[in-house]
Amino acid sequence: MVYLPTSEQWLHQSSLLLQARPTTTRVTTKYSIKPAPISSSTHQAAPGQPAGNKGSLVLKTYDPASGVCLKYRTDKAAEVGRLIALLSRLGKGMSGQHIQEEVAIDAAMTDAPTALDGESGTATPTTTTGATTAGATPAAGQGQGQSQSGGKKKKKGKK
Amino acid sequence: MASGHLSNDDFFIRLAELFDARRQKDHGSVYLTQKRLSHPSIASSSSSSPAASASSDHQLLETPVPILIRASDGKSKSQRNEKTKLSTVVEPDSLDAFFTRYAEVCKGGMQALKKRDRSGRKKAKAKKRKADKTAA
Repeated sequence: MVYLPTSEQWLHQSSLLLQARPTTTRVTTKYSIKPAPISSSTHQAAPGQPAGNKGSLVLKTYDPASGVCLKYRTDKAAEVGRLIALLSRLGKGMSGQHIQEEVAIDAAMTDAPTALDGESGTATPTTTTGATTAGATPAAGQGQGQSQSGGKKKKKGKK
Repeated sequence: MASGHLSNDDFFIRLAELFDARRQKDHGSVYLTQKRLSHPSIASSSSSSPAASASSDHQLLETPVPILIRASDGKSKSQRNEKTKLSTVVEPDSLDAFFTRYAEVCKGGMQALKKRDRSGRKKAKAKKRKADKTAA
């Protein structure tokens, strides 16, 4: 189970997984609300907000056949629209249509066998666009950036 | 599923209700899942030979497949009677329209997430203040 630091990377990895295993891969979006913690993090919640409930949104791509699980977590309302747009793209991939090519998916597709090289190459441009979401990274990214290649290897190995 | 798939319109109505029910409580979850529909007709045609099923694994299909959207409130087994489960099938043609509405419903429903403007400004201010204090 891997949390990816940016939604772009999540989309990229997820679409790779979806291409590898289109029939079994599923994408789950979990929206959960937790009651506001009593003492510890009350100062984090904006005082203007009526109830201090903390919501979070976790996107998860899971393939039960290979056990690969990719996640992205956020708590920003501003990201919802964009994340649904990502779901829409993955949905197209699921239905067997072309996924839009903005994310350099094609490059990764063509050199899929040498994916580990291509991956770092294609991951860098996405991080530059991910600068807009950099605010989400401290909350979501838990320094598991390196382990994403671990999950990746696992998938390629089983493929 | 006993209730069967809902139409897309009904699904959105029920999904909005699901989010509303969540809003009235201070905890809980909403699960939304999407996956390729393993259609009965496709399954039966491809099950005849392993080669056919392998070809259905191929990433670009000749005919696009519908996808299945599920929503649930994540109630556990012990509360199965109260569990809400919704599902709908989206045809490839209507994917864009579906996700446009989906985004609206989700944006409307996910109110407990942090609002951008408020928290951002306040945090920035707080950070500035802190920085000033530490500097002084």
